[in-house]
Amino acid sequence: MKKKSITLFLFILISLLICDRLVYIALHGIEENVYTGQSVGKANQFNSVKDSVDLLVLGSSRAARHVDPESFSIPGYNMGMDGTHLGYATALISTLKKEGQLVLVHVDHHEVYDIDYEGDDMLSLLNESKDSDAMEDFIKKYYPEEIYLSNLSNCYVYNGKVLGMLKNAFLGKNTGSRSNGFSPLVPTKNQKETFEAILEESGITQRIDIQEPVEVNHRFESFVDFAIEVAAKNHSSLIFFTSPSLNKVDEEIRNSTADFFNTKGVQYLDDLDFFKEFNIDYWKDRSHMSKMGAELYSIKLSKEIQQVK
Amino acid sequence: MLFNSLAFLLFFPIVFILYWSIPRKQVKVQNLVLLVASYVFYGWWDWRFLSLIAFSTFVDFFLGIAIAKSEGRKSRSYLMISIFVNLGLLCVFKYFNFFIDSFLAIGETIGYVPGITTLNIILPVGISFYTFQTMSYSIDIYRKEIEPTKDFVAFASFVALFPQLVAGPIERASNLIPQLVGKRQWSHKRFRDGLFQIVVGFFRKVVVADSIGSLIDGIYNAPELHNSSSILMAVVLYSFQIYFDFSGYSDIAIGTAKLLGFEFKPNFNLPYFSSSITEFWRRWHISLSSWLRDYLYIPLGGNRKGLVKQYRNLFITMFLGGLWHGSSWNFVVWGSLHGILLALEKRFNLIPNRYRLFNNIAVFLVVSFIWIFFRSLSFEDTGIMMHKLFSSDYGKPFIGNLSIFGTVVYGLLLALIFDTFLFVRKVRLEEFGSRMKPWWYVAFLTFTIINIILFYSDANNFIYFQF
Repeated sequence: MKKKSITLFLFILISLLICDRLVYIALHGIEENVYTGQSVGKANQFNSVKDSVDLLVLGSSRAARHVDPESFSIPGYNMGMDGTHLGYATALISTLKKEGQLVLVHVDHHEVYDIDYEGDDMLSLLNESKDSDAMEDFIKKYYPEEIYLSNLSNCYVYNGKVLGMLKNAFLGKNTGSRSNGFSPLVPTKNQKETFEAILEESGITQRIDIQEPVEVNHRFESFVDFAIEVAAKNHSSLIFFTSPSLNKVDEEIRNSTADFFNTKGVQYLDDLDFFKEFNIDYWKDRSHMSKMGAELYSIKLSKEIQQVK
Repeated sequence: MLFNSLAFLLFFPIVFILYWSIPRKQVKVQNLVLLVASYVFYGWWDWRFLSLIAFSTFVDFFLGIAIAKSEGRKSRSYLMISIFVNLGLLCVFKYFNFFIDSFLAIGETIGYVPGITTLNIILPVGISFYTFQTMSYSIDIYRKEIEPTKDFVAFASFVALFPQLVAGPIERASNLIPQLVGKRQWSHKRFRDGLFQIVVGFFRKVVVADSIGSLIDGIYNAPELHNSSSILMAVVLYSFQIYFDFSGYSDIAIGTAKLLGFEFKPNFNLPYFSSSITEFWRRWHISLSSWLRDYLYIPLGGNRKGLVKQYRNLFITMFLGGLWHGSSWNFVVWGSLHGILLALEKRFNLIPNRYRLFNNIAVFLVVSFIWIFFRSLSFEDTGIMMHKLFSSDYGKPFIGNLSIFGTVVYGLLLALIFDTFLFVRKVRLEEFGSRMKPWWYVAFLTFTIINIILFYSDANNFIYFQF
């Protein structure tokens, strides 16, 4: 009886293995041609330009919405991604090979001291790790089990991505043209009115409290070290920056953040208070500038970097 | 340890191989392996609360023997001690703060402020399940329905058996202890059924229930921000979330037990295909509803003492059934409403003796509506949701992340087609795996597992863990 069960179990395993590989090949084939959408399309665009452009902007949605590469005098790409942090950005940095690039990494003060942050945002790049040994090594350092699982089941790397990918592959507008990754926000009249009402109720700025004890997150620090190492190897310029926001932190936190990057020997630009006066036209919400605000800031950032360099 | 965790995926094969590599005659050693595995499984969450399980085990093991050895008043006293200890554990760990809060609230309304405060008590996972299980053991011995076991390890394994320890099914001693004391035979049929049920359970939980949770949690957490269409969508989808979450857990538990050579009683039988609330409760969380029937409803008099008392008994049973689910008045109202509906069905003879589509739809809508009490964070939120359901604020529903919404539609569609198939063909999931042709079996499992890999949602706790 046991023999019969073992045989059946082996059949299931073999069938799973074959189907897993077949489904992976099919999905991978589809993925390669998707250039729209956040989860897969933008990463594909990044892969296609990362070794040719001179400027790369990495970071969260605040990076994606706030920095226009067109404002810089060099060809660039903005790979800011919604809902991601330094883990994701550093995983992308691990794949860089071109020498002499300018790499701008967006960070927020609270991210530096967030004790709960473990860098699991890098896992949304698991599918990319199948095509990049460098990224696979990077993810394996922090999440070895994820790499083992993805080797066991190749399909695992597409978890949660399939429907979006299929939609973008078959219904998306693949015009062939590539954007520079900058996705500015243009608030509608309604959104503007709602935002105004919120500000009226709770004030223009909001304080972000940093959890005690104020210590740099170890994983965050390890990502910074790694990014510095890759930049040094590629003879690239690495600059961390914080873009304007209506969410404010204490001066003490800002100083210690600047000190942290200073000790690491890497440039850090804190532009939290870039706008001296509040103008609603520059904002979509407290965290994100509008297109108008972002364009002004991009020009300023470009000049600031020229001075720094 | 969660079933849907990497730890369990490593833990179970180790236990499985170790367990079956022990010679069949060495039942005690097999039970010891099960006991240690069960304590590891539970201790993975919080080892401190293992002492509670051990305490409950010791008390009921020795009281069981004492109840059987004595007669009359003495026997009854031992039973009372068992009930007092088990309910005492529940009251302290689950209801202490609830009673204090309620007492304070009543005090405030009459202007009396007593100087008592609540305590920071952590609810031990699974306490409602294993206390009910051990309590029924003592009651069954007192009723002379079973003999007490003299095998401590077998009894301890019965209390702590990991597939059912944290969220049931609430197994009866009369079913499980004989299996633990006897030799276990490997059965190919049981293997096929078990594996099949585990895979279906995982699909129901991690693809269907968890995706629905990701979509509707935001709506239930802030109903005031959403329009009527979104509220309606959340209400209907929650009915499916809780069903696929809990039945998924039960499927994994029952399937895992099968792989270890045990037969658990079914816990769900397609409850949303019921033509009456009475039938719904015969199909929903069967191990709890039958427990409440046998140890509460029937001792209260059941239907033997006239209609009025029968209605009263139904209400009391469901009221306490609601309270069993959680220390909140929301659960009490939810249970009480079901109690009232059960009584009304009896009073007006609304229970058809065969399937009726119209009744089925009506029962689903009523049950879904009452789930609002169960899921809402407060009575205030319940009020907002009900108000919105009956207002005219219907517009575009909240879709959120398109990928999650797509997964909900796809997963739910597959799960409902499968359930409808089981219902139409009158097949029980528990024995469906062994009835399929081997090639279909392999193909079905492959398809389902690939779908789980592609569409599983990040691990949420099982809803019934909180009870």
